[in-house]
Amino acid sequence: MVDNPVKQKLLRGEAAFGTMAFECFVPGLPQMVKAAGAEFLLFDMEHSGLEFETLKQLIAACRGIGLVPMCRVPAGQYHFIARALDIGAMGIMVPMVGSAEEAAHVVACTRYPPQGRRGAAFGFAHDDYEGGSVAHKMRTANERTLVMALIETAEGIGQVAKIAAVPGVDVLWLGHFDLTNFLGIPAQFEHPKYVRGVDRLTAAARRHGKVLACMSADEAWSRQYWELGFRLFAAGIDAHLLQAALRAALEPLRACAAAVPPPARVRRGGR
Amino acid sequence: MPAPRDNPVKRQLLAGGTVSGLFAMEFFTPGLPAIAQAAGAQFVVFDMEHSAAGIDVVKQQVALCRGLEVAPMVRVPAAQYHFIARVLDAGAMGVLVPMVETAEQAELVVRSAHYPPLGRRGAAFAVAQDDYAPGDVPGKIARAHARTLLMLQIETDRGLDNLEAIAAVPGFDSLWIGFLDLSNFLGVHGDYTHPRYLEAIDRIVAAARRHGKVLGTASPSDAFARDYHARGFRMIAHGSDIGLLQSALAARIGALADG
Repeated sequence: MVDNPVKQKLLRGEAAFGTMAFECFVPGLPQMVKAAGAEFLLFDMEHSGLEFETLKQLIAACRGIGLVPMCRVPAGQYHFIARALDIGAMGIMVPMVGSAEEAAHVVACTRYPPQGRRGAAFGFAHDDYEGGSVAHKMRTANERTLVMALIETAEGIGQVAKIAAVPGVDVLWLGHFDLTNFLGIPAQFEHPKYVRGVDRLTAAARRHGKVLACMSADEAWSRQYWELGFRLFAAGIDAHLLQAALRAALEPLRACAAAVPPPARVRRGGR
Repeated sequence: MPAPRDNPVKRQLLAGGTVSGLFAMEFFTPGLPAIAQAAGAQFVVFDMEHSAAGIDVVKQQVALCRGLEVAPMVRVPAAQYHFIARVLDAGAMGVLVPMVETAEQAELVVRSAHYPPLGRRGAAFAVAQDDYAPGDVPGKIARAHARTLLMLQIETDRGLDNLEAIAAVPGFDSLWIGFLDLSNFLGVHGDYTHPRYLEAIDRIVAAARRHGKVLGTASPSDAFARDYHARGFRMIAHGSDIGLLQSALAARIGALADG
């Protein structure tokens, strides 16, 4: 069973960069983002309508190409988490984690007994259909799975110190937009309430040795959060990256058209 | 890694080796390439002739082979440019063409698979076939040419009539038999011990030897694979996937009934 190089890097204190997919669920997507330098690809099931049949195809397309597949499940429920792991996800992101109990439940869903309560199936997608020692596979699976709790609600920020203390939670992921929304200050990233929330998050992560992560909106944003100690970044979302690149490619064409006078109007003969 | 990637199966065949793979006709599931690899297969032939698989399905399966050692091959429905060039663009490392009956068809296959000046394949780079990698177009063309394995099936009376001329066409690598169709077109339906069928096999083996082509076949059984390997066939596609599942299941059911 292959290991998870992104988790290993993070545990060594190094940074890891990848991207997130909401829309372009095509066979070539994993290789395209790999060719662009991404280390992981985080597939969204919360907002995208992505289902497990399609996700299984996409994760299979990550097999062997040196790209770590991860999944944001729609909610912190066993049936989502265990199924995403069985089809080969190496990391699980859970939205709206609001308490230490929720976080502990998420961890238990990702671990085989006695550490957790994950049901077992071997010789399938997550172990590349290979034979071998079940005990070794269970150990590898327990070790390789990256558990990421999204902190993005008032409850999550209120409980972040306790959530960070839960063993097995590897990453505290700041859901920056939702956090402002749940604090009643939508998209106000300079607002003192938001800034205080981020302070609580970073302090909790430092105290408990957890990795800080977020989406990088732009260069200034990345620098700012890097300075705050964030080390796991998803650089953009497939649909928005495509839009931005297309917009940038269209601009010079529009400039060409704007530089020449419009064609003279053709006079139509009277009828 | 230089793109497009090397074809380990073609390399081994050119070095005189024997390769075994899977003939997939039905189970185009996300795990199929990894399952075949875990069983020791070196290649998978994805069938479009009889399976109704389209190029979208083939492209999924070829993408699933990307990080693995199994080389993806595709049997196209017919010897036409639009099939051959499109499965190559999807990333197939080899193309198996059914019912080749004339030297002109063989030449068309070769032309369809290679970029100018060797052939007339239209170009698209930084797509699936070169793993979306940028740059180095001349290198990509040379590597695409070097890795593409072209396999022509002789499986009709007309193909046999023109065997010498077909085998003499430069630029393709392998002559495959189509054992069932060959027996059908020779009027000995499924009788693989009939002298007329065996004489045809001997002729195909001799033509391949004379023109330096690798002999290939699908194989429905252990005995068949051993027999044809002894005759000089070095590329064996076991299966199909349907037959393998059925026979393994039947053996388990039979074992329970007998026990």
